[in-house]
Amino acid sequence: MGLTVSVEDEYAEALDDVVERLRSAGMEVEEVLPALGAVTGSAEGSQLAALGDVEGVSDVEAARAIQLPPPDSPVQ
Amino acid sequence: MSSATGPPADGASSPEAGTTGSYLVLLEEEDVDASISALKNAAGVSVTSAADLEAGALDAEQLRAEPSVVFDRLAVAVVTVEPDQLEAINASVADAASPLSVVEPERRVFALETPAPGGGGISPAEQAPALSADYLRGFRDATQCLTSSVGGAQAAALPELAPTAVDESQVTWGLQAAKVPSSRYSGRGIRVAVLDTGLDLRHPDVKGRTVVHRSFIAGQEVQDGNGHGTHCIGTSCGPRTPGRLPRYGIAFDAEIYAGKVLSNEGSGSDRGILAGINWAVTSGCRVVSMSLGASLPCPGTGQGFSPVFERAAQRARRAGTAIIAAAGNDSSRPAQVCPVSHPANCPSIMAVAALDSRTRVASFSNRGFNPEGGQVDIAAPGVDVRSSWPSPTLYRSISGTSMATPHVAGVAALLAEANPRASATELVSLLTSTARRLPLPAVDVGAGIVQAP
Repeated sequence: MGLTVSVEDEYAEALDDVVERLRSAGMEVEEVLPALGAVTGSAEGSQLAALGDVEGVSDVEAARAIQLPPPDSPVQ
Repeated sequence: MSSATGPPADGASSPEAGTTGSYLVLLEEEDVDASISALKNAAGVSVTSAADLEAGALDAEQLRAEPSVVFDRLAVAVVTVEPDQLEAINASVADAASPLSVVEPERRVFALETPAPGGGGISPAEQAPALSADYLRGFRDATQCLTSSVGGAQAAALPELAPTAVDESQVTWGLQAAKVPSSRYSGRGIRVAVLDTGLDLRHPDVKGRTVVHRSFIAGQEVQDGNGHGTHCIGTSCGPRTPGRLPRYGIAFDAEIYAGKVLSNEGSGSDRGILAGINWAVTSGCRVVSMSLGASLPCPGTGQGFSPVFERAAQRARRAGTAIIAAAGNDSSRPAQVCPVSHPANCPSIMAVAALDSRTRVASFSNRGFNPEGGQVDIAAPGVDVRSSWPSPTLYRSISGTSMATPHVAGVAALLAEANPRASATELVSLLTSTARRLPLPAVDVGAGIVQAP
């Protein structure tokens, strides 16, 4: 399951540490986004709770899919 | 510099209706002392400083007792003077070198009347009896059928019935409605990120422009194989003189940052979008335009915005980047009105609704049902919007809150150029405070229609 994770303000400077802890908790990390204090990646659904408990993590969400209408649609 | 006329010259000193007989004098903020001296020298007026009185504020007794008072922090004096003194003050105000700049009669003010409880309105019993939706629709259709069939001399006599002719020979109706043609700004020096399906880098109208691009879609180049991205970048940043009129682009000198976060098939994910936003922030973009979203349940009240996106947007704002996103096209008004989509429903992301050329809310435009974040902040042209499209089509008219969003992003770039030191939060405030208010519900149009500086 695709995930997006947000880090607490106080841990924004120590982002790499939080990323390590997320990895240890079972997250496959795709991108670390320091300007946003966010991390993206994936994990099993069963691991979501554990990831939320990781020190420094404020929110864990399933990544939503975005889909535009077909290019020939009048409304886009 | 404005002076005031005094009480009637016959000496009967009854003040003009609504005034007290005293006068307000505007002093020079940087030199209140010089202003007080000027009042003394010119008109022999001695003022008591509010600062000298207890606690720096006047109570009712003191206000009545002191004929002339100066409020130091406001640099305003209230003076009670004879006609000849007023003349002297007027003369001083007329002198450019004087620290006194305005004098006006002190007005009487009153509490605004509040309606008596239970009075003033029409009681529910007095309102029109409830009519079925079908009846109302039929009535509306009948009147529309009649009025739209009016032609010729009758239409000329009743211009409000004839559909507004839109002249798009030079400039699109959307740019006209946003007051872009008369703006002296171009977005020069401003970096605008458009996170979408990329850009047709070979489009003739892109030639000569600064374009920085990056693809966040695995296996796909930024070259736009869809069209949506090219259309949105066209609206926000298209050229002042395109290959073919009408002009359709707003910030024609902005630096274009094309981030492909949606595939050529129009698909994307929260992960790619966040990566795109991060890139835009670290690249120094002051504006991010996102004509994309995921629908919320409809009908629904739009519960719950994404905490991850909200935090990201707050951090982006603190770093100097304002994020502007589409409110979404899920609605089919009036039958169904849907809540603002993710991520536009985040409080720290501006949600843009769509208007047509008659300044009506577009039938597909979503509504800000949820005051906890899912509000519509502003509206912009979003019906029959002409812009660039990948070759060989080159230009196309489509509709959507996707088209309204880059209008706001383009104007944001103009505002950013006009206000180089404005923070992202200030930029958002400028957009909403300078929008033209509309006689439409704020849940549908927010602050109104975006207007270029």
